[in-house]
Amino acid sequence: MNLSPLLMAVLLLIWSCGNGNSKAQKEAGHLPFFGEPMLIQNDRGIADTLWPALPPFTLASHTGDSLTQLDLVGKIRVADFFFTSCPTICPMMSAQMLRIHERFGSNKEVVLISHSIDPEHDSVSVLADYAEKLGASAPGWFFLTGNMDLIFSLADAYGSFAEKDPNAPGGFAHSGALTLADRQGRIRGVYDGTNPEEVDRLILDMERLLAEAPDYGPEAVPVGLDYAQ
Amino acid sequence: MRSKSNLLLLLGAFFILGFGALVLGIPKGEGATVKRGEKLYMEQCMNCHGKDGKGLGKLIPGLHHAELLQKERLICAIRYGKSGPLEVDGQVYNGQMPPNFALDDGEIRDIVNFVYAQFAEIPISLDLPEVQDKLRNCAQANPRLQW
Ligand code: HEC
Repeated sequence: MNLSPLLMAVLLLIWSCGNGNSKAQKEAGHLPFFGEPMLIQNDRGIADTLWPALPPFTLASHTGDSLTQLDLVGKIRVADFFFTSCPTICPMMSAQMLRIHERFGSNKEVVLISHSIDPEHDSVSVLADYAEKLGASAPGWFFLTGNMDLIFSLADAYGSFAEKDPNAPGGFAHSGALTLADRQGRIRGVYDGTNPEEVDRLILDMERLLAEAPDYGPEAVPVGLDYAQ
Repeated sequence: MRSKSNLLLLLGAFFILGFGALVLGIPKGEGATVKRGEKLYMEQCMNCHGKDGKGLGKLIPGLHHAELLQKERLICAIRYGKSGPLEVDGQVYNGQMPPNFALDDGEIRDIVNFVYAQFAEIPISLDLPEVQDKLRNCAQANPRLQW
């Protein structure tokens, strides 16, 4: 009698293994792609499906160098949008990003990028000081500053949000999203960076993404932004 | 033999003290202020000092330091904020904690009581007149900050 739960579990396991052959279940191991596919058609019908990738950018990093999308080729990235004098959710986001950094900091295939949405105040040296005090180090984690319009548009492209708002605490309204993108710059997940449980899930999803073949899924094309940089 | 029985005695004492503190430390009325304080802490302080009060790197100090938990210092910081260099246990912080004038005296008492219950080595509980007395002191110490 006592063995029956165990027996049930074993049977269930066998059953589920037996059913694991369908295409859908194989796919279930992969993270979804965010955004809309772009169907490239010729006169005979659909020739190819392309997927939008994150736009190119050039921004100044807290290290004193500049960082571009080319530095992220072949790496998975987690991005957030914050500012150093933010009195509300940013310290929580930074604390969660720090957890991720502590976990993946030595992995050369992982890069964290924190974009300042208050680039006028958050100069390279302010960001360098913030990074040092937080315990963040390049090349695992970059703090970025530069053209504010570009950064706001990037926030939008990453499925996050940022805008100037004199009524918001600290002068900016923004989202606490952490965005996960794969080696081809395709968004694969957006998580609430103020919620430790969501970040637990993000960390598991990062492991899954690292285990994925780099050429998995539809081919990526970066969708540009209309900003002179 | 002797040291063994001493040890037992010590353990027993710890047990009784610990249990006593558990039962007596937070009597009825004080339980309510701590409970309200917990809710307020999670709304007003947790984002910066963390759920567990550990702070954030060298940016935001943890609240376990006895120094920071001196009554007046804690109470004043909640209403008037704190900025400029601040040294705790050899670490210098230079951040900005914003003032919070939306909290009334009773709410500040509740937060203080939660902070003591949660982070202090020896939890204490303050009543409203004591908190108001300290608030008057910090208003005098921070004349610029009176609104
Ligand atoms: C916006 C982030 C933020 C919030 C919200 C915040 N703090 Fe702070 N707190 C700080 C920073 C940063 C410091 C260090 C200030 C400095 O370096 O001078 C600090 C310092 C303190 C100190 C030490 C004060 C002193 O005089 O040394 C105490 C106590 C404290 N905070 C308690 C609280 C409590 C309780 C709350 C909620 C009512 C709270 N804080 C809300 C960021 C914050």
